[in-house]
Amino acid sequence: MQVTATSLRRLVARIMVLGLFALFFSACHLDMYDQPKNKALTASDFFANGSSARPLIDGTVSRGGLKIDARTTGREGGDPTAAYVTTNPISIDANVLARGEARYKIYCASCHGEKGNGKGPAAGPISKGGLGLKMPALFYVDQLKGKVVANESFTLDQAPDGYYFNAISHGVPNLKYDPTKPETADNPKYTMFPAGFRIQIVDDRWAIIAYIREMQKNPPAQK
Amino acid sequence: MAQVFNRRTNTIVRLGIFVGIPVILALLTATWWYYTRSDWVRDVGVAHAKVQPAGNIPGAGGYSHQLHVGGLKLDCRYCHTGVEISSNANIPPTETCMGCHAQILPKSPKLEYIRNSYEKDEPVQWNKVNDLPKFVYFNHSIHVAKGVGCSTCHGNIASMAVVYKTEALYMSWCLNCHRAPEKFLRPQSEIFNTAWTPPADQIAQGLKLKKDLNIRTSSQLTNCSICHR
Repeated sequence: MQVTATSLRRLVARIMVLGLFALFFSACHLDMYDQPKNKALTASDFFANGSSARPLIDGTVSRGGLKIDARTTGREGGDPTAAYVTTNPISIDANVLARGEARYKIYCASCHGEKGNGKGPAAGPISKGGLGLKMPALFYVDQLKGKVVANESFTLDQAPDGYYFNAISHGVPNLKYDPTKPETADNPKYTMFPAGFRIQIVDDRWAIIAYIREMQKNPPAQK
Repeated sequence: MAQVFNRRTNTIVRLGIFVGIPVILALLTATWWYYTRSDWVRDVGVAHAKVQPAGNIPGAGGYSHQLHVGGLKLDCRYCHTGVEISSNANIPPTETCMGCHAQILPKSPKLEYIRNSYEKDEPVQWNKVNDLPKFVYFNHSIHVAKGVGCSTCHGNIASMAVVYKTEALYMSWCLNCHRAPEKFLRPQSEIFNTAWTPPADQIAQGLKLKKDLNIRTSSQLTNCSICHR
């Protein structure tokens, strides 16, 4: 092909236009913004389920979490078949009670109520915009009398601290749960789901229990 | 020999000098401004809100903070459990949803995605709203411990049906506070109050909080390695 003045001019023009585009694109490099590494909650196209976080292998123990005793299990000596502990294993002072109250209001009050009457905003009757859950009135021992605790020899008003701890940590198992069937609304595994994975600091659970006990001694007036 | 450039070229060159170059400079300035200052390019505002969770079944609606936080008064920490003890506030696992929704609306088609996630043990996929560059190491726990409330950065989440970004998260915006934290600090009791507004004497209160909470000086807070490692 013969190189004419016109084709040369066109070539020069094309190179100039491309150069102009290159100038624009050079401003948008994002290589350091999106580095090839994972931080918490980063999505991953490497793993099939799209999550960069890997599920815990059964039996995983968190650092410092290996200790198995009354404080971490709510049972005497940490033995899973032993009786529930009846006294709070942490020492209770005003700070612990304040911590317990604050934690209770975060994790418990939405259903059990700020006054512990089982009438939190999430639990109320459907007709009043609530969601129709039946919740024990934790702060009023007389209202807990005679309430049967599944699989236990005591009623709810007699429940020891260790029972509360296990209900918080591991949930209240549904005794009618059929493990051969899928876990559905008709076949729930728990009547109360565990909250322990949310209340991660073990002593916070005991602080909540200490606060509930304190309120049971002197329950707030019901309107 | 024929001339390489014909007479018309003079006009083109003049146009290039007096119109072309200013236009290109203006475009470059506009582009620079757009990519470094604009809220729009950083997806700020309700117009950019994406229905959550990302993987939800189309047409099933989405999670509403307005309902759960504004209506049912759930505390931020009910789900975002890590916010006081870790750099990440954390997105709750499916078990947190099911803790209530095993009993509340247990058969609602709106929650089918959540139930599937629970039954098949597959993570719920959420849209990341505030995505910091990988070279920024933001830590939630230190901010909530030192008087920076949720709504300072996230806005009034309790009023949002679909959560959207309220700040563009430019570094200059971070520095606004790191240079003068007293403008934004609030008492510990108000950290999780999403509707908090600064009092009239915010600067005086902020300076007192800065002293009480033992907050570092602005020259320390603007050290590069405070945020970049």
